[in-house]
Amino acid sequence: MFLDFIFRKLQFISKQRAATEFSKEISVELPQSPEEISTTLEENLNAAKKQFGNSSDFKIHRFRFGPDDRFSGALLYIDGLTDNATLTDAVLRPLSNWVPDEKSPSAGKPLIETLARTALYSGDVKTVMSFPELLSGCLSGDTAVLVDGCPAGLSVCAKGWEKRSVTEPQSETVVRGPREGFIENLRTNTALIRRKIKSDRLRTESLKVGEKTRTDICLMYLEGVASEKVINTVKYRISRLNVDSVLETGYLEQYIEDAPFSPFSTIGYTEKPDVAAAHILEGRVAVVVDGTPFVLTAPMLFIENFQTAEDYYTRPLYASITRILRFIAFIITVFSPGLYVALTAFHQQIIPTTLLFTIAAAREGTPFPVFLETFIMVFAFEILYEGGIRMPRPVGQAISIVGALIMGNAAVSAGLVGAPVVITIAITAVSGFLVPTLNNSASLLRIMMLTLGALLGWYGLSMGFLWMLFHLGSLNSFGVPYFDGFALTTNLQDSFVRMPLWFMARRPMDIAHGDTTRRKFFIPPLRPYSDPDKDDAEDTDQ
Amino acid sequence: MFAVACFIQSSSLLASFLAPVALQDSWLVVLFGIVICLSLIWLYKELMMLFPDKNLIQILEQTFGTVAGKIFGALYLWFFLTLTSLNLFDLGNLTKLTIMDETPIEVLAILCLLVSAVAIKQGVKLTTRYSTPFFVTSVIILVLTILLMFTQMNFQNFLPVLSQPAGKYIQGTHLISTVPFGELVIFLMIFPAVKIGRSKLTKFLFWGYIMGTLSVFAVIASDIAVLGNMLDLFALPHLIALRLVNLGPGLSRMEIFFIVVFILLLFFKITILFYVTVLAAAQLFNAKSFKHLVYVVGALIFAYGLTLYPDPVEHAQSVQKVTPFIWTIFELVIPLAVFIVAKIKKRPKPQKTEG
Amino acid sequence: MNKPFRKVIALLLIFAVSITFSGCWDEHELDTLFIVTGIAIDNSQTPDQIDVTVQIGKPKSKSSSSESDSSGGQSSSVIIIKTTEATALEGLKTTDRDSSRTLLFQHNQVVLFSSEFAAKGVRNRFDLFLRDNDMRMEVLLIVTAGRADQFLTANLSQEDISGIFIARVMQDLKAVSPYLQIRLLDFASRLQEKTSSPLAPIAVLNEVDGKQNILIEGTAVFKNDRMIGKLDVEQSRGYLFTMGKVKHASLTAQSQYGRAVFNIEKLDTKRNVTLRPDGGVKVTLSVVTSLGIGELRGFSAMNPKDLMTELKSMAQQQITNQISDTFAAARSLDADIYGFGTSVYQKYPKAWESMEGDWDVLFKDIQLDIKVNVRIPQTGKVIKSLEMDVNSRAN
Repeated sequence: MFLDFIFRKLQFISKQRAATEFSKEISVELPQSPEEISTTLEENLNAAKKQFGNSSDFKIHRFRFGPDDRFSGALLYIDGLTDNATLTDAVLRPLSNWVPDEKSPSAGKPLIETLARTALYSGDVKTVMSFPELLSGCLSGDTAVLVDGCPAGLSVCAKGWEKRSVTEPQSETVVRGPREGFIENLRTNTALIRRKIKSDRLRTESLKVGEKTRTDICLMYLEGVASEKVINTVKYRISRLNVDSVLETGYLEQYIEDAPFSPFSTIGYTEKPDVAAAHILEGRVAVVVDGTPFVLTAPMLFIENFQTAEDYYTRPLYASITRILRFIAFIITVFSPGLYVALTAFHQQIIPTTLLFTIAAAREGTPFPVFLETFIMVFAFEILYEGGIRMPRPVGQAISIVGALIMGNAAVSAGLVGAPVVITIAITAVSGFLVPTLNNSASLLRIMMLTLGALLGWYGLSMGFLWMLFHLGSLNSFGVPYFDGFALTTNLQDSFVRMPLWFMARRPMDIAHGDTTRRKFFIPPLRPYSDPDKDDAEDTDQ
Repeated sequence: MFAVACFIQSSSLLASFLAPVALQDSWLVVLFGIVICLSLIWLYKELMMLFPDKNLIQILEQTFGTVAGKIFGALYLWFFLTLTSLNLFDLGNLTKLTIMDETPIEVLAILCLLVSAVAIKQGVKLTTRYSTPFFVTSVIILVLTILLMFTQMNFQNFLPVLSQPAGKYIQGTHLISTVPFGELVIFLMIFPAVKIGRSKLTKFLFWGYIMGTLSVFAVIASDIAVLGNMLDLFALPHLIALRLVNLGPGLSRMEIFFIVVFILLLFFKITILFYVTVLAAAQLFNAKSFKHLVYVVGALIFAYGLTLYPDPVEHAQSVQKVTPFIWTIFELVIPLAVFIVAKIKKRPKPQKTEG
Repeated sequence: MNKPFRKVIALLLIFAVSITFSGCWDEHELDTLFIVTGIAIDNSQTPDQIDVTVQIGKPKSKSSSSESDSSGGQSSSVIIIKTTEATALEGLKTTDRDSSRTLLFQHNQVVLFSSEFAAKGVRNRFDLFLRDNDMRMEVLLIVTAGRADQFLTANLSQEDISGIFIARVMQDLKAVSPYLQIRLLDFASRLQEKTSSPLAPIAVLNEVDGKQNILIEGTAVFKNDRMIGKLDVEQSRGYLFTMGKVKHASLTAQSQYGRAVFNIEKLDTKRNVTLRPDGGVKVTLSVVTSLGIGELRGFSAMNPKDLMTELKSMAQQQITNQISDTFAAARSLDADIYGFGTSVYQKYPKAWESMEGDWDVLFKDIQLDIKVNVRIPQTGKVIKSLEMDVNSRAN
């Protein structure tokens, strides 16, 4: 009966999820815009005003042009989205200077087209036949040009709005490497990627998603290298969406990802153009969304969580060591609290005797059982972490000192928690930052392992670990296996250790299905000089 | 290939049942067993080649006809079920013995079954892919432990050689060929899922077998060297041997390695056996896919395992005396019969038409 | 959508219920445990019962250590619990029941038997230590002169917890020769072999200026499971030389020319067992040793070359003497402390079957051949000793 109750509740939730008929939900009677652009300017303007209500930022600028101010026209644009200087230079000035000759038409669609061709100075002019398209162009920042007597309009691109400059991304910092980061503007982002990959095979496909937000989305991939299947899957999944809004790539990610219930994310994201470019070059598809600096890359492998851009800019030996360090850090951050609880509470025989005395001494006065103590500390850490992100800048220093002091020192001196617990949690926390993309997953897993360790000691931890392994192995990212389980394939050259660049001659087989050679095979560096006096140039041929 | 190795290696840590039989000559017995089992492996290989995409149950049905085949299949189902339960409760018992004394064994068993169920729902491919890192890890750790135990070893413990009554050797060899090594028969069930060519098949089987058995051998040999005449006293000789290692003031508790490898290997074995059991059940009952049966079979294994043996002493006795004979039927007699019948069936037609 | 959901929820519920309602069984919080560092077994006043004393090491909690680190705090960090029961297991269970916390035996360092107790036979007390998983095989076995519980209550100057102290001392001794430390495993292994005598080191309690000190002196010899005698320090040396694998020990030899102290860098002994035609056993010991010269006194009338020869022969003589002395002691005790019987078994298994019963007699009858090969590769920093130098210059 209890089961039924829960089951019914869940049914309700799932039914809600199945309801995707958003478009049917209409509570307000909105004016419908006419389909056609009428020939009369006044009718058009009235319809536009009605459509936009009385929004104060929707501007209509009437003007007259032509000899004797014969023609009357209007500019429709949204203040704040257009660049007034461009507007003046590209539209108003040429129009007012335009002199029609005998052959030029004087009314109707041909007039508009002539204007577009000869008069306007802008490079991006579209002739628009339907009214909704015109208005949606306005909403995107284009300027609509309407001329009395013409059943068509022009959509001139004179966009210009305030945007952030290209700065170092906050979430991914490097010591060595480019410090450019994506910004919120779609065109700038695609341009940044274009600057990295100057190949003509780089394709940019545009989509619009979201009922209300009409967000521009760009899919970028290398034709011939990226797998057709993946491209089509991504396109299909995005086009299938019938949602109200897409404000960030995160939305998209949650809508199109493969395993929504897994703690691991199967779509990667990045804020740096060089990383995105590298992924595209490997055969992945990048999804750029207007309004956010985070770009999605699909498909994603588990190994990517441990790769940073800097790995490839530093030399292989050190890069390999840091990569192994990251793996170890991940294991530490997930298993440390659980391990601590399991060892001290269940399997004291594993701890060496002197260490055991130290830990026991620390535990002597503390009131809580180890599990509760560790859980409180993990919880406190999560609070600190979240607080650190949200707190306003000026208060930052004070809070961090308070946090550190309270959590660390005072709690230990007061006897609330033991020093070993604090150390364990500190190590856990810091290790978590080595793999930032996995930090969220690690938090979830950490708590799960803590519970398992507290309930069933080492055995529970082992089973948890095995479950994690098998769960990872079963994940697929857009058809590509997520985790190939350390299989001894050629992909190994970039997973645990990073082989020298000249060694990784082929793209990862799983992802790239087209052209798989990315380097001439095995170009080792020139051998060191055997004779310092001889010049290298002499050394080659002759 | 590694799956085979891993599977056999998982028995290496449980070799305590062998010790009372042959004492300090256990290593010899293992060697004999290796040699004799080679023929068994050859038999399995032949069967695999004869029926490239049929698993064992299908082979049985094809060879003996539907009714008899199904009966044999049911027998094999019982065999697999028993194997799985035995291993599962072995894991539970020995974990209880070493690290978790008071936990009821049901909890340990259920947890293991649940994780195994998750593992096999995708099919066996994932498990075999993981067998490689499992095996490599175990080998590294085992080699490490043997090296660590080196200082404790006393090679005099191997003497005298060949002084036991002859019957013990035969019993020991029989024991070891059937219980750990012969269980390879289950790979006949998995084989259709594996796509490798004929020549590679032989190579993989053979090398996997050798690697696995070598680990068993190494473990037993090192145990004899370290423990000497105390070998037959303990339930887990390798653990005791490992505990003796003392690298210094801080590093004296090496048994953690044992526990890690132990859980890992046994889990692997249980998972594969679980898969095989579910597959056999699915075949016999003509289920559309085996995924539905996973939980059912799991529950069955659990319930069955609880009733297997009243106490460890009886378990040990039975393993030494009774089990090898039963296992021989499944591992040698029936496959041999299948082989012979299949060969006869193949030769056949010209003679029959003439006669 | 429904079916998998339902299954998942059902499973989770079952799992959660079974876990939470039953609690965690094995969990022992550290502050609910007492860490046992030593166990002592004595004969008790009441006949047929034994006194079991358990020493528990108390970890110093942080607050107290920060206050009293310089003063040699009288806060004893050791708790002693005693009971009297019929068997060791009952004794331990009683202490467990009476103490406020559960006893953790996994870190136990030593088991002490008093010599009176050992003389009565230990075998039937032994089973507990082998069977219980908590008792580890490498626990050190020590026989004490005097009552064993005194060792656990001893107030040592060097270390707070005597159990750990003894363990550390044995650790150092192990560096000298692995045969000096007897673990439970070794003892039990010898017990298994019906002809060998188990040994155990003897600990002695000294009192100096109010502070006590524990020293390891000599070896206790058991026959079957009773203690029948002991070897003193010199004889224990001889035993070590016979078994081999000695390092970092010192050897003192005296002759009419002077006294020399050698550092034994390495000493290995091979034993070769052969059967004599008359049914007896002949054991040939080949000792190979590398010595370094530690200290020389005397030898004034020698030149270096003769010196080396003399030193070598002195060392040889000394080693041979010690081995023979020990062997004589073993013969008088009637105990095969070397495991010669097992060596015979390992080499001549067939013949052993008939010899096994008479081993007592045969052991006494063993013909022992000792060959010592001494090398002195190192003489220390000086080539000649001062005394020699003075005299040679005077000459």
